[in-house]
Amino acid sequence: MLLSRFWYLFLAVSTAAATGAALLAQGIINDKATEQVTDQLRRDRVELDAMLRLEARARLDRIGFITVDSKLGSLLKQAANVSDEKQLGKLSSDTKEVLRSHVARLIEAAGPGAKEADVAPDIAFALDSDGRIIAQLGPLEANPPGSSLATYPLVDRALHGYVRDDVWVYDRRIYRMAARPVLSGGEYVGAIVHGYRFDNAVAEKLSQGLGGVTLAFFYGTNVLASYAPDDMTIAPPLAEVEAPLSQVLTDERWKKGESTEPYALASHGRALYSLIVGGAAAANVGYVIGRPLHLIAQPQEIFQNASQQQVHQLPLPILGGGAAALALIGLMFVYFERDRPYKVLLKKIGEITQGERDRLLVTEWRGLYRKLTDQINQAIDKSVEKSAEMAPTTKKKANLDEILGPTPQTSSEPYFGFAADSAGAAATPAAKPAAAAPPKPAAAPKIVPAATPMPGAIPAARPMPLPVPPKPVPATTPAPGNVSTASMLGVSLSPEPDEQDEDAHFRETYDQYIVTRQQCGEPTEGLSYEKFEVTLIKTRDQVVAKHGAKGVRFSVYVKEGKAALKASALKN
Amino acid sequence: MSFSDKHSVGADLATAPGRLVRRWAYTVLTAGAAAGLCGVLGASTPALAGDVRGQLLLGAYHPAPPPKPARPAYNWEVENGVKEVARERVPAQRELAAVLIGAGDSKLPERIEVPVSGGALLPSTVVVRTGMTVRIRNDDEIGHELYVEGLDGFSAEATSPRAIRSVHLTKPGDWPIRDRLTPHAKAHLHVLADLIAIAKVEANGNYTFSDVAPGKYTLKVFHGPQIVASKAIEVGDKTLTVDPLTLEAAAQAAAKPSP
Repeated sequence: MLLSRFWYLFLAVSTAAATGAALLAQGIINDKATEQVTDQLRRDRVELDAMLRLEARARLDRIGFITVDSKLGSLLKQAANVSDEKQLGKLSSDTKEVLRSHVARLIEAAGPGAKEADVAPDIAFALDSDGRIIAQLGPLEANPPGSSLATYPLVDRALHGYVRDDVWVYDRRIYRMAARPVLSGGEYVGAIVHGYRFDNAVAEKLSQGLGGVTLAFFYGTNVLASYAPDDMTIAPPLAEVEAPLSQVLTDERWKKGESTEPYALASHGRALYSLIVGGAAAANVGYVIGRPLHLIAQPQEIFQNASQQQVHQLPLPILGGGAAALALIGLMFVYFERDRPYKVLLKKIGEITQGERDRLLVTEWRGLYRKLTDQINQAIDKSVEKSAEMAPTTKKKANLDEILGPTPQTSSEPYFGFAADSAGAAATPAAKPAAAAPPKPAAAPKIVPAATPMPGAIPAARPMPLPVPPKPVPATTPAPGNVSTASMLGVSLSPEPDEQDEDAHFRETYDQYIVTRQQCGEPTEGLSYEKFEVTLIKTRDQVVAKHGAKGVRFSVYVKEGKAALKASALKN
Repeated sequence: MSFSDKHSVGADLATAPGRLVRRWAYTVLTAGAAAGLCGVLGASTPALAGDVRGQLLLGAYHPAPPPKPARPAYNWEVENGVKEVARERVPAQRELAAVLIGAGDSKLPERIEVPVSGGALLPSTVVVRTGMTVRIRNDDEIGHELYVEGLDGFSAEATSPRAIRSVHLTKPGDWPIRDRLTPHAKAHLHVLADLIAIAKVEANGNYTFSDVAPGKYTLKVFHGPQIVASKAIEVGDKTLTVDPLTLEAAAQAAAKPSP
């Protein structure tokens, strides 16, 4: 069963390894997916900045023609040193009309397909050389002229001759601004500044430019504009990306002006927050890009996520063949180590039942089967012993006497028995040898019953007659695997053995011992009969001297898988 | 005096020679009496206050650029391609403050008014004496919420267009002023215990301290949080014209004003 056990162990380890591999794969796949989304968000941020940069350039270029308008330049030049409200009002009104006409031209230049709301600025200023508002369009256009925008870096740089963009917080609104200087007579006489608010249309356009992300622009915790694709599998909902805003504002990276690390959203998505490029960044104006993240919750989802192509690419014959081979190996181990011995055991037990054999040969088996056969043998022995005790002795003796002659009296208890590791050990006498030789056996053939079986011993199924004059029944060498009980037994001698009988008994015992040792797989080299005989004689003498026995009978049995000898004293 | 003389001469040209002589005599007597009265009064009162004038040399002043923000302030800033861009100059009127520091009583008023114009305080460098009240007047068309972090009484407070808010300053020191609604606006507040006078700096760098009591002072020029010029002066009973002051960005390392 060793291979089967190893096979079970192998299968268990393999199963644990496969489960562990699946769990590891789940973690690895999830980590990879998270990493990919994180990288994608960083790329999105770079791309979005680039798109906003291009859009800013377009706004700057859009108003290029205004800055060289002579009428506008002239009006701004006139307004430069005017402080009189009435005069300034008149100039403001004229400038505003010019500004309106230019906005109309902007819309016209955008083409018929362009939406007016997309082209017309939400706010526009015409500034004099000091940065004073001479005219403006937008929510505050009703205000009187004269207010200044001089400290705004965008305005300051435009008045110096630069073309520049910015993002403003102006009157609590956020504008994407652009400014150009106005030239008149070779001088800088002012600037044109215009701006667009962040609206959902812009957010949608930018989102689509990024492949359909969730995108929102915010001012502090207030969302200015946002867009999320309808398909939530490709973008997390807006509410999720807006939820961490208050937390984002306290983020250390955010405070340093850096974009945040991606935030985990409730739906496993990720959102990256970044400040806008422009002065409004100082007022926490920024944007958030959200992307979904599909994580594997259970290892089996790995297979659910596999595509048909990936399934088709699997080496199914190899996998199937491997599985079949593994199963076959397991079945083979089970057959050879369990099923087949079991069948053989059943067969041999059946032979016992049918009387074809008396006992099981322990040496045929290994491991648990050896123990099992040993136990079965012991059970048989016990059963036989019990049956013998319960049966009337006289009747049995009588019957035996009828068949084999008078039964000698023998001790029911074994006097001497030992398991021999070797021939020498077996021959070691337990006591000093007796001085007198055993008496001669009677001339008539006698039947000696088998000695009381010891555990593991192979008792005789029936007594064997030992004719004194003729040769005793020789021990027959059993075929391997089918050793008869008789041949395994100690050979019985007549109750009054003479020297010749004793020699025959010794010879039989020797032969049987040699055969049993061979069957037990023990070495027999150097175990000569002469040595064996000396040992038996010594033992016989000791037993006779100690117990006053008439003789001694030796029997061979197997103890713990090894051949052993047992000496039984013959009384009377 | 000279104006009166010219005026008298102009008048006499249209009169007869006799009347001219009388007028001359009258004028001389009047002037003499006035001079005598002044002499008497002068002997019994402290020396008269005088003005201090001077000029800041802005051309060579190139302050260190502000630290670059983590996020750029713009996507595009390029020359217009038509005309050369104008040379950068420090807007002295908007950003510089020239003050006199020294011992003695100050004639500064208890309240001064500082406008918010063009999106930021004007000037953006505000220097006041301990105990003064600053009235911030919003001249812009949009609202502002100026505040100073860590200074009691100067928390963010909405100031609507044309509205005024007052801040009483008792704690010496210097702090940056921020605006919640106009993030680009930056100003700096200096509260000094030994402030004597504040000059109005013109766009060309000229400045004038009026009515300064005679004594020894230190003239300091602030640009934001830094001192860009410092000079010891002694004011007498006449107008003092200080040599032109060179503003040195390197001198900004000079110690901050002692409160």
